[in-house]
Amino acid sequence: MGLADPAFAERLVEALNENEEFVAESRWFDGSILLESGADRLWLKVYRGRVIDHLEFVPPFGYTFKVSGSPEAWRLLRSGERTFTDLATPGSRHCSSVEEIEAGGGGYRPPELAIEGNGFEAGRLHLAILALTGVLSEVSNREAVAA
Amino acid sequence: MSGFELTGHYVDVDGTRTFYDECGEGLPFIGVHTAGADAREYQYLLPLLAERGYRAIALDLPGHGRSYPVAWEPHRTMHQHAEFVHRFAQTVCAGEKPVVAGCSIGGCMSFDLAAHHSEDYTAIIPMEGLADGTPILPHPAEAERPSWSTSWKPFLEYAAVESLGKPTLADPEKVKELWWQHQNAQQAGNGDIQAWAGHDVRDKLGDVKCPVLVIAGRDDFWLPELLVRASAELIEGAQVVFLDDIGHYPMFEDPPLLAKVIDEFVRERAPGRVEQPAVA
Repeated sequence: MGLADPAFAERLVEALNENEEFVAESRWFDGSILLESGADRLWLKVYRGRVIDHLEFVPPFGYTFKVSGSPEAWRLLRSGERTFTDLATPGSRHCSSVEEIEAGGGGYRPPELAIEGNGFEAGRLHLAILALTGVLSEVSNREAVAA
Repeated sequence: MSGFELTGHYVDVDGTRTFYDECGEGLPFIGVHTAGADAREYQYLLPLLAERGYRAIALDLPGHGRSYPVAWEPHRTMHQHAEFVHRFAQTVCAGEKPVVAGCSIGGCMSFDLAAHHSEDYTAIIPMEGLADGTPILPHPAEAERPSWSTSWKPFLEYAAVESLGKPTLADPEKVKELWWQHQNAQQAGNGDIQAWAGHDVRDKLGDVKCPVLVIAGRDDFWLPELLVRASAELIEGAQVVFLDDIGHYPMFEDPPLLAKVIDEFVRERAPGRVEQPAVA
């Protein structure tokens, strides 16, 4: 998944603006979403259902909220091995022993995909985030097949 | 297609008007729904159990569907929910020993009922539930009111949808139906998850007096198999069944399979309680 690749970012933005669910759910959002995979970043400016600008860095005024995770967490999402809700919800559910569950904080183990920043806006945009991550997976998988 | 029709009823429990669906005659079966949902989750299972000789019932828990909350407050502990279900059973099935099966929070309630009232049931069937819910999720009290969290409602809807088994998740009609079943009040659904996150009856399951069948779907990411087994092992003689291609909603995802699994268990472990001959 090449968040830092300008060509990939262009294709992602184009696909998001063609996705009916993303467009509808972000219709009354005026803010920015940062995507992070390891050290790679992509900042998306969203206004009235459209991604109207994007940057591979964070501008000085920051972002409204971000969705971040390790490359492995994003791979689990892309491959369909894990759902977004599973990856983005705290709790100990993928452990090999009861001891591991307890050592990791039990129900408070941090999620593998973290949503941080303005939680009210991120909550309001929950379905847009689901659509966004779904499109992100589709574009990434398409490129992997083409390669 | 079953010839049995569901009929809706109301009964007063704990001073609150409580709704339940019912069909058939025979040994009472009571289905308990998942967090933030209602009895509609059992609408396909109940007629199939009626065909097999059960008086099949599913209630809307307080604050869900057509049941008012008790004293206008959501339940926030599993024991509150379980005690309510027990009083519902004693009221609607007076003098009888029903089979009770609950899913998710209903599964946790089933463990609570096994801990406190097992002598009053023919069988207890926890589905997608645990004796201890604390490892699965953080306690969500800080997101109880809509003004406290804009993410709660969509989270609960998609926590439900995305934990379906893969075959059902690929069916857009079923996905939409489950989504619509999770449109109850935020306070009620959040109270349910508070109940899940605070639930722990592990030290109360040493003297369960009725047969227990623990059911879990292999596609359900919420319930690690090791925790399901750990819960079941606390009850002497409990049977455990893992269902392939099923997620968090067995009664909704494959009602014929579930009717068969429940009926066969009850007939084997409580012989003679179902009067009607077994379905071939």
